[in-house]
Amino acid sequence: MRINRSLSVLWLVPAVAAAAALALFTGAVRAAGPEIIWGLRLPRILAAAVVGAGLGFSGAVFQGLLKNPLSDPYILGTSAGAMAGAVLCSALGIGRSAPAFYLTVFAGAFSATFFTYSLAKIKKYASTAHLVLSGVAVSTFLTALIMLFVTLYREHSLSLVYFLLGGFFPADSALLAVSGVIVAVSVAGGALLWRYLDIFSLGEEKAAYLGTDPDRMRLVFFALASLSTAAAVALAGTVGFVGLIVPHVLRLICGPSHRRLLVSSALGGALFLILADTVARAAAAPVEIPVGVITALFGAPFFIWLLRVKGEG
Amino acid sequence: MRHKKTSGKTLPAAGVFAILGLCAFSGHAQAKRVVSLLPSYTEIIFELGAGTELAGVSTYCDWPPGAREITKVGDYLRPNLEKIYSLKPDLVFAGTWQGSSVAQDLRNAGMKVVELPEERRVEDIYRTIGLIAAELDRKKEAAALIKKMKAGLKSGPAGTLRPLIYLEVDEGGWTVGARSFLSDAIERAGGRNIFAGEEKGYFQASWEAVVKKDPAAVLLLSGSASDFGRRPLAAGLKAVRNGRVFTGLDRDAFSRPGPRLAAEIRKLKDWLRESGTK
Amino acid sequence: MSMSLIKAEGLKFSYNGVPAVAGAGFELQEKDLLAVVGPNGSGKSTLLRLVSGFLEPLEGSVELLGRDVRSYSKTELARLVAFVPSELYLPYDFSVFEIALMGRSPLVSWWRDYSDVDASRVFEILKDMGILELRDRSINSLSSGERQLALIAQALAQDPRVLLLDEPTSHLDINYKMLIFELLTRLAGAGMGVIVVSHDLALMSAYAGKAVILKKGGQLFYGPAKEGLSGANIAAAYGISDPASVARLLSIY
Repeated sequence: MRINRSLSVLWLVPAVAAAAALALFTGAVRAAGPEIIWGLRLPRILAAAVVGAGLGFSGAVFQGLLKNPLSDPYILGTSAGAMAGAVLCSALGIGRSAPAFYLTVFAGAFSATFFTYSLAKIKKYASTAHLVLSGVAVSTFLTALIMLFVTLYREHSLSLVYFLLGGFFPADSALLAVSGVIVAVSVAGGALLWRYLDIFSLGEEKAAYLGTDPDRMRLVFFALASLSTAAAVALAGTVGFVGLIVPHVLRLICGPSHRRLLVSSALGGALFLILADTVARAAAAPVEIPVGVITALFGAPFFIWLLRVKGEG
Repeated sequence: MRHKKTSGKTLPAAGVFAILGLCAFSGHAQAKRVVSLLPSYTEIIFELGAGTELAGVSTYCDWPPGAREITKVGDYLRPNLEKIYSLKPDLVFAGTWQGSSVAQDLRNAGMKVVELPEERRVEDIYRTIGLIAAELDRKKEAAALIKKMKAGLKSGPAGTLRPLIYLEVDEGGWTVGARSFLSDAIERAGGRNIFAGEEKGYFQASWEAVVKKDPAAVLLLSGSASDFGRRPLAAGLKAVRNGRVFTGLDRDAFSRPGPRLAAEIRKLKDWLRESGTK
Repeated sequence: MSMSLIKAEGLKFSYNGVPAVAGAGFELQEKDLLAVVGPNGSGKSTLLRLVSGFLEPLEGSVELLGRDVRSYSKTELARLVAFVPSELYLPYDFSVFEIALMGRSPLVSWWRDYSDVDASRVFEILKDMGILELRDRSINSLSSGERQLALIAQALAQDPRVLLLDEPTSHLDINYKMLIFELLTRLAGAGMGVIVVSHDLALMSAYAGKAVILKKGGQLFYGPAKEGLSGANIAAAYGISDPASVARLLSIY
């Protein structure tokens, strides 16, 4: 008997390409001219693809690691850490386009997540409940610091709000490439080790009986997901709902096995965010709507739908 | 001003009352206790010489330096009602902010609130000054201040060119449309706001829109010129190529509709002329 | 002469100072179907976890094929010993096939994917167990009996030499109880060593070849099941005053 390897996810690839093409030519094409279309829109669409893929992927991983389909990539302190990084930059006068900004936010996001992990490991191993609790603790503490800063130095609060909501600030292509590589490597890693995330759902004890070291696997997936989230957030701020909705929807389409889920969540996230960003950019031109507002607009009806579906289940 | 009650000493008491009466006729009305919820009002009040009458100011009020010592009552959107009440002000200067119940809440607590209309053009500032001065009985000082500001605005040789200008108040495309006095300020300085066609106050513009308009000059109220130059396609902008990215304006002085605005506009006018911005 | 698979001697274990297992020992050989019985709190599940190498004993030893069970790497161990828990919570709706396929993981290098050989083996196992037609059904949509069979299939996919089951039939209907015990007998007959912890005394006495009887505080008996699962021993382990009534109860089945 043969294994059904059909990556029914592959239909997503042309879908992403089509969305990208649509995005390129939405919004006053003739007035824009080729320079803007290729010089501004294309990098922005690529950024949306990278960020969407990174968030979709890490959302799927966290939903698998925490065995909770309502987890999102920020649940373990990542968004608070990123914000803290942004606030620090604000205090030090580091501009949004500076590479130092990217590095600080990346470091903030990644280290907050790892701090959460280490905190949870206090009791010999980082169980799901411990992880969530320490995530809440770390987020709350960092958020309090952030709020303190914002009230004392309201100078840049608006651009910080913009960061928090998530948006594609005109950024350096070099940074886009860095994020792109990080996300690609993380997704590739996930695609290689997918079966361990499946086995992880069986619980710690059973996973051990199947020859898997649950601690090591948890650490590896944690690292991959945290890297990919940090790369996404450093580029576009804390865009919400992508990491929550996309894996959830794709699980319904492709099934829960991570063989398909990880890659399809990445592709699905890219698709979703390209479309959301196109709306954010073109719906009220020249006004720029932060893309996080658009994804949140999708989020509310999604949760209502979820309530209805689960309620009947 | 409080007067001390002295028991059993009517003559000194009468004397005190007499002095008070004289003060009442000396030209200044009995000094009031005033709370200002907006930095521009605070600056105007100080310029009118009534700074000593301020009992409370918003957390953002930091000019002139004396304002920093005054009790803080929260920010203009969510003032600390209890704090304001405890200061027992005779009146509170607030703005007519859409959708805000601040004025009503304060009135409900029994305080007198003067709501000053939003300034949409530079000359609206004179109206604000007039309204504040009327309440504080400083009409002479107001006239002098307005005269000084008008002179400041007229000063400096006018350039003949009217270059297109992009004003960024906060990093990330935060700029102004026709409804903000800042758009008018740019006009007064001899430039043209690229978003003057938008019927908006403060809003976030997409980078693409800015690049499309290719302004002759860029004013940054936050962020550095080098950071600005790093944005995609920024290097190709006229303003960046010709080095016309100006960060020399004082952010607070320029963005508050108050007494310092005229001087900043003059600064901008001079820079535009000297740099030969077209 | 059947090969010795597991030798357990003098096992002692406590949870936070509270003794759970106090002096247990037995030998499991190929073709053995060994029953572990005893009242709640006598340490049956703990004993199973000591034997599987998941827990480390305070005293005593467990040898698997002549080596200390805890000296094996996780992967090596998974190729020899399979464990079926009594209940498993699955947050996501994997299919029966996907669940069973997971059992092949210890046999596949980490950088590789499951091969068609793995798929065929799983197919074979599901067919032998009579649940092939359930292979694409979600595991959470099955009845308890079918679900337990799927979990056993996962364990068998490891191609183990020792199969450990913790209360595999407690919550199942009698038809599934019999089906599973018949299956275990077949597996043992084919050369596997099987240890079953169960409350189903009647079934155990019908099918088991060997028995270990535990009571609170120690091991009461180890030896042939027919001899061990007697009215007297059961009564002593469970604290029942009348051994004859137990014997009658067991013989009804």
